[in-house]
Amino acid sequence: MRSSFVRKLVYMGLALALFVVILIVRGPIESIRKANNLTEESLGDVDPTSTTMVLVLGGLRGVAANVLWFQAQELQKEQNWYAFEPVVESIIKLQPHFIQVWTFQGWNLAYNISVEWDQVEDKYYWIKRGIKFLERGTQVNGRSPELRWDVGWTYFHKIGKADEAKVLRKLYVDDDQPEIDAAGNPRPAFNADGLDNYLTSGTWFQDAVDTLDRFQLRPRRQGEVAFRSYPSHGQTNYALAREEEGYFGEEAARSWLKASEMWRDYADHEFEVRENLRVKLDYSGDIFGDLHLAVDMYRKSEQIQQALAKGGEALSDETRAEVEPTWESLRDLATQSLDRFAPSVLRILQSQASDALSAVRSSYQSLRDVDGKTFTSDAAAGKAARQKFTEFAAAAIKLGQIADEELYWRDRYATMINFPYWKERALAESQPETVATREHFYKGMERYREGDPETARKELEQGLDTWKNLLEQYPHMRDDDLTAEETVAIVRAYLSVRQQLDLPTLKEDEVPFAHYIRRFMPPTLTPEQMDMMHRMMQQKNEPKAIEKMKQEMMEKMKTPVPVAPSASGEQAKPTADSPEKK
Amino acid sequence: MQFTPQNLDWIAALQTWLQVVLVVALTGFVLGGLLAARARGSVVEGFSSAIDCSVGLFSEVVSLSLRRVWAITWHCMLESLRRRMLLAVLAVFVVLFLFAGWYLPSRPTEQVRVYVSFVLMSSTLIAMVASGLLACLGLPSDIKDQTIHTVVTKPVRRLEIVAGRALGLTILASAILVVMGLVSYVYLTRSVGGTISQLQQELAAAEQRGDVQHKDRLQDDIDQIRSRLTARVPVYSDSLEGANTNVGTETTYRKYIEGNRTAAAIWHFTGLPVEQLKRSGRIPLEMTFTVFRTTKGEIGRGVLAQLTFRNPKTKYAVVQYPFEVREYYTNRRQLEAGAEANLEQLFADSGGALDVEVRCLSPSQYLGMAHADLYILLDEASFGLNFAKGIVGVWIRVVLIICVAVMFSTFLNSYVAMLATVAVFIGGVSMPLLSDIASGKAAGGGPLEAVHRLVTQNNLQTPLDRDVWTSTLHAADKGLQAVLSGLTYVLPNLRTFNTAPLVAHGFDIGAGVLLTNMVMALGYVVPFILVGYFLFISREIAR
Repeated sequence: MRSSFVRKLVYMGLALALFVVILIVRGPIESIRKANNLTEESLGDVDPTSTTMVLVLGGLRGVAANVLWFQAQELQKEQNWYAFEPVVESIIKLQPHFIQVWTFQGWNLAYNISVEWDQVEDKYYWIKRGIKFLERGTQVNGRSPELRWDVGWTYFHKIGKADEAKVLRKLYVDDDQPEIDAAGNPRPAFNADGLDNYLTSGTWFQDAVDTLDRFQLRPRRQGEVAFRSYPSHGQTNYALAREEEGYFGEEAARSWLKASEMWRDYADHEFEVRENLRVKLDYSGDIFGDLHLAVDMYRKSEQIQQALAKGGEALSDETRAEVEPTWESLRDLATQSLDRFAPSVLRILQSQASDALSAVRSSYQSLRDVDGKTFTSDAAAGKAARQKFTEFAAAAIKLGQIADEELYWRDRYATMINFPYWKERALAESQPETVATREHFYKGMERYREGDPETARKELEQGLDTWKNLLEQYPHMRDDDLTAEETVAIVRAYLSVRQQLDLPTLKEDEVPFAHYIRRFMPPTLTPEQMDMMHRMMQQKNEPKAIEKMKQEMMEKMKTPVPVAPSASGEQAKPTADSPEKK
Repeated sequence: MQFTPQNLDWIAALQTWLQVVLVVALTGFVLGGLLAARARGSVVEGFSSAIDCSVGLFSEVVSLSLRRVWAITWHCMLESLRRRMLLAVLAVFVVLFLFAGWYLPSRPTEQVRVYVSFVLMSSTLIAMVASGLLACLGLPSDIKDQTIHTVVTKPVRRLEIVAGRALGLTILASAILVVMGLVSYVYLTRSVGGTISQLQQELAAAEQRGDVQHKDRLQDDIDQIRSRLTARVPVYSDSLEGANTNVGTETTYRKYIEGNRTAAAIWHFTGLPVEQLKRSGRIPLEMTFTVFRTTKGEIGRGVLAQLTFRNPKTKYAVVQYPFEVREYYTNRRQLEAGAEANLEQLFADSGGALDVEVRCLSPSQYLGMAHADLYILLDEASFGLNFAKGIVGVWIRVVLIICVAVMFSTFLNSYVAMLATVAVFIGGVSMPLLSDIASGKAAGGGPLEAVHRLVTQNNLQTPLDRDVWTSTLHAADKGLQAVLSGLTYVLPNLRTFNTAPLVAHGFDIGAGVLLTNMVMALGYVVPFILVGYFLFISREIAR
């Protein structure tokens, strides 16, 4: 009895001691949690139900979540949608801060389950469920830019780019009435303001970008360059979609202008390539000019340096012939540019650029008046100049390399998302002439589909006339495949309409945008070329033989591609735009 | 809902039951005899006491006094009430229903389905947990506190104690279920009624605004909800012929027919109540089909189907106008007598037989159907009565668990009995999985092979390398699968007794289904009670 009493006292004492330890340690742990943003309130809105379930289940939470995932998969397999939803809700109560769960199930509802339903209204219902699910996820996870992006993407892609996009977009715009939930309570309308889905997507994309900036995060699932471009894409696609639906005039111009502004703002962001290297996607003409000048100086200095390294103290005639004009050219560049190198350029370059520029300027002082002949002469002045040049070249190469790297990354990032095209396109489309041209194309295609070839011809002709001039002003847009594809579709409709009206067939040089048509025509193989293909396939294990055959075939494939037969029915001759002439 | 109408083969079921009972009895007899032989030091004495016990059962049954059973029942009920378990149960029940709405987001049209599933499931769990706990605590506490001696020396027979306890808990569970059922029904009808009135208000507002599209949608929602508050009495066909195409779905519950082809799905009905159909002047059909599209087709238009009603004897046929199928919805069509069809000719010399043929008319599309996807809707019963039948279905499952818990409580302590009861419950709801594992149909092999795959991170489909280790695993798995196979005969398949989906989807629980379930439940209850009796007498209490 006594030992039992003593044992109970010991246990109580231990429990009390541990309790005191908990009280002491709790404070610092809470501080660490707050500092690392791991508390419930720092992650997002607190859901008491979820928190309670998590606490009650304790270590069994993982087991319960696994069981629910299995169950969800089985229910999805059985197409038991209404039993599936509560299970997903239970999963999310147990794993509210596991972002991938929200992302996966939101996508699952909006994409996989919606597609299982046949009626478009039912598809729309499930896409809406997916979006609402993701939106709830953003409330509970306030620091997740990815979830916000997912919401935006679902609005953008699932509603805007589906095969049923026309109907889905209309359903979304018309979804402006309050809803009744399963408990019979009224809920706010899904789209109370009757917004376009692309505009809503743009808002969410912007929210995602703002979340990045607010919490100084980097996106995890995709590159930052692409991530930040989506708000602009939202606005751009809104403008595109409205024109596709037949809305032009001032509304269209305004939408495109806004898109253009957004692309400009996007390009103003400094992307961090690595420590001490930040790039923008767009610079003013002056800055670009200075950067290219620095690169030119670098290349020429390097060329001279290499040439001088080949000769000894006494330069050969060959070296002189190479170095002299290059030095003159370099001297001109340096004289023009070094004084006017803009401070704004230095601001965007790495910190070492400033030192390099100072070194270039100071070392150039003694070389400014040295002409090419003197520079390459064997006299003492020449030798002294070449010695001084070493210092100049080192600094110029350093500065040029920095500028070159800046330009390289700028080009790379810009090309990644086709920024030059979108920037130019938004600007071009915002012009009244472009809007008018688009309207002609739209009306022309509509009349063509409705079987009114005469009106179609007039509209398309008017549009094509102005289109050529417009594209000449915007080279990126002109050279892009998207523009080429659209134009070819319009030209084909135009040619078809002419045929319907029994108008004379156009000659090859009269067909508008014939070069675009040629770009999309597949190359036709002659029987000889087909035979060579078969022989290549049989030489699978002979890489050298295959390589030789490939080269032969490439040569033989440079045959003229017919565009349209001439009025006399003769085969068209190769023109300036033929591949063989390129 | 995936449901295949089946008629129970009573003879075969009885034969299987007798075989299982015999095997279990023999196994019990042999085990009992061996244990007794070990205790007494003599095989002869051991088996002779086993024979005595077995024969003793008959005298127990013959001497069973309903008065004494009732006394134990009453005592058990009083004891359970004193434990205040009912208060706890009701408290949990109330809390659950107060916050149920937070967990049940859904379309208003699915409110009935989701709510019915929820209330029946939660009633099942609450009643099972409460009754199971009481059962597991009852006898072991009596044995531990030695109050059992005052009972067994009354004299009360062991069988009366076991049966009385089971009966007492059953009566308590019944009372709990009646209360929960009534509250659930009121909650359900009020919630649904509230939703309908909300929708009607929205409908009036939409009408005032002139928003035709929204008004139609709301009216459709209201109709859908009202159609769920019913208990359809379906008449299923005997067979389905013609739907043979597999479009690559994971489950093969439904097969498909191709559109714009000669392919057709034909439901063969026999024994139809022809006079009743003729009197009503119509043949109402309900169908739930799925759609598989190979092309987008015309966006915004559904896939077209066409019904043909045919007399299998005279070949008189009535072809109906095509209609658009709404996937996952109940599509309702009916054949009206008169201009559309001559029911006299349709049923002439058919003996109540009728073929209903469905064709898909949309090219490049497929319609999916299962046997139970098309039926004649003969009648609609009361939803309230059907809900009550659903509660009876819950009651059957609770009674099974009570009997299992009482059986375990006769020879295990409270906590172990609880664990064992939970294990039986899990086994009961996982019966399809257990059957698949026992028969070798489950991907990934038997239990030991599955563990091996987990540890070596092999997926379920990868064939394992053949070596000594895997061969040993396979051999051991065969033994375990044999044990599992035996368990599948002994453990009650709780899913079979689950009639909640029928209520949730608005189908009447027929008297036949209820009767079948009750008889099947009795087939478990009686053996559990008897096994409990034998385990109880194996304990040396007041002998």
